[in-house]
Amino acid sequence: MPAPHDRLRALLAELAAEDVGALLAEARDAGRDDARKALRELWHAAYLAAAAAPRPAAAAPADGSAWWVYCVVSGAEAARLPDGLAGVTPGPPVEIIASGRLAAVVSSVPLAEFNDERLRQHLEDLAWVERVARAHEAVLESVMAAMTIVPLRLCTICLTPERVGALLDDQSADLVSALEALRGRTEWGVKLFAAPSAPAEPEGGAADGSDYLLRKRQARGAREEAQRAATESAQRIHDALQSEAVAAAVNPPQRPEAHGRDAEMLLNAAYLIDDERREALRAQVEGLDAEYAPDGFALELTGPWPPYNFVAPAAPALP
Amino acid sequence: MSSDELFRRPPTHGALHSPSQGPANLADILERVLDKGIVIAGDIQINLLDIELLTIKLRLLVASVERAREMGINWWEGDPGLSSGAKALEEENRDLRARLERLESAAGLPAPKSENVDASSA
Repeated sequence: MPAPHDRLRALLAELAAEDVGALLAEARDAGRDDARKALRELWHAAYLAAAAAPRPAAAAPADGSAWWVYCVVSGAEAARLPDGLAGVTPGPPVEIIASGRLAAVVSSVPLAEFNDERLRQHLEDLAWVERVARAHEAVLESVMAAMTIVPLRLCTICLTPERVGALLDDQSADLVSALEALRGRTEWGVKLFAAPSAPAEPEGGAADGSDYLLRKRQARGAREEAQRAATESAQRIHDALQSEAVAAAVNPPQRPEAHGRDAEMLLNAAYLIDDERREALRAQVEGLDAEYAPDGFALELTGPWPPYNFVAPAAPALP
Repeated sequence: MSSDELFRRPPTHGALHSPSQGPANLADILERVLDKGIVIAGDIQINLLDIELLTIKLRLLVASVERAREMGINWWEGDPGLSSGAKALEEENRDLRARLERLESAAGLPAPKSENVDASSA
C-alpha cells in the first residue's frame, strides 16, 4: 500500500495550506502585472493609431466661416466704427457684434484657413504671422482712433456670432471695468538706446605682453563702468517718464537683430498716458533725448499703441 | 559713418507714424499681439502651447540671441528679413579679424617704409 505517499500528501497539503495565502497574493500581483502589460499594449496601439490618423478639421465644416475677434469696445460707442475697415483676410470688412453693454469688433474669416490644424501650421510661418499681426494691429489702431478699446491677443476665433456674444457676457464685468480704466488714455512706447562704445583698445600695438594685459584690464574696467552708468541713466529716464504716466510696464530689451539699430537697447518700456498729457510726454521724451545725447544715448518714442501692456491677460484690471 | 548718422538722427522728430503704417519694427508689434492683450478662450482651440512656443522663439530673438544659439535655435537666420544685418556684421567681423592678423604679423617685421611714415614724422 502506498502509505508513505499518503503521509507525504497529507504533509504537503498541510504545508500548502500554510502557503496558500502568500501564493494567492503572489499570483494576484503577477496577474495584475500581466493585465497591466496587456492594457499598456492596447493603449500603445491606440495612441499610435491616433497619431497616425489624419486629424479631423475643427468640428465645423471646412467651407464655413469663423469670427476673428480684434478687440472689445463699449456698446454705446460701437456705432463709431469706421466703415469698410479691412480685416486680417481680404473680403468681408470689420463689423460689430454687440451683447449687453459691450461689443466685439470682428471680421469673418474662412474656416478652411483658420481651423486648428491650419492655424498651427501658419504660426510656424513667420511671414504669415507678420502679415496677420500687422493687419490685426492696423484694425486696432483704426478702431482706437474712434473709441476706447480692450485689445485681444492674436488668434481669438469663434465659430458663430452667438459664441462671440457669449464670450462677452462671460467676462462682462471685467471687460467693462477695463474699458473704464482705459478711457481717455493711450499706450506709448519708449526705448532707450546706447551708441556702441568706442573701441577701448588704443591704436597701435602693445609694447609687450604685460602692457597688453594692463590695457585689456583697463578696457574691461571701463566697459563695466560704462555699463553701470548706462543702467543708472535708464533708471533715471524711466523714473522721469513714469511720473507722467498712469501706469508703466517694462519689457525685456530687444536684441539688435530685432530692433535693427546699431546700438544697444537699454530700456523697452510702455506707459499709459492720459490723452491730455500726450504733448507733455512728447516734450518730456524730447527733453530727455537732448539731455542724454552727449552721453551717447538716444530715446525713441513709439505709438499711439493699443493698450496691450495695460490689460491683464485673463482678468482685466488696472492698479 | 552711416550707422552713426542713423543713430544721431533725433529719434523723436517726425517718428510718430502710427505703428502699423510707419516703420514700427516687427518685434514691437509681435511682442504685443502675441504676448499681451486679453486672452479669451475662443472656439478654435488654438493650442496655446503653439503660441507659447512662438512667443518663446520671439523672446529668444528679442532678449538673447546668444542664449538661443547656445540652445541650437537659429530659425531667424534663415529669414532674410531678420538675418541680413547679422550676416553683414558677421562678414565684416571676419574681414576685420583677417586684417588684424595681417597687421599683427606685419608688426613683427622691421617697420615698412611707407608714405604713412612721412605724415607721422612731419
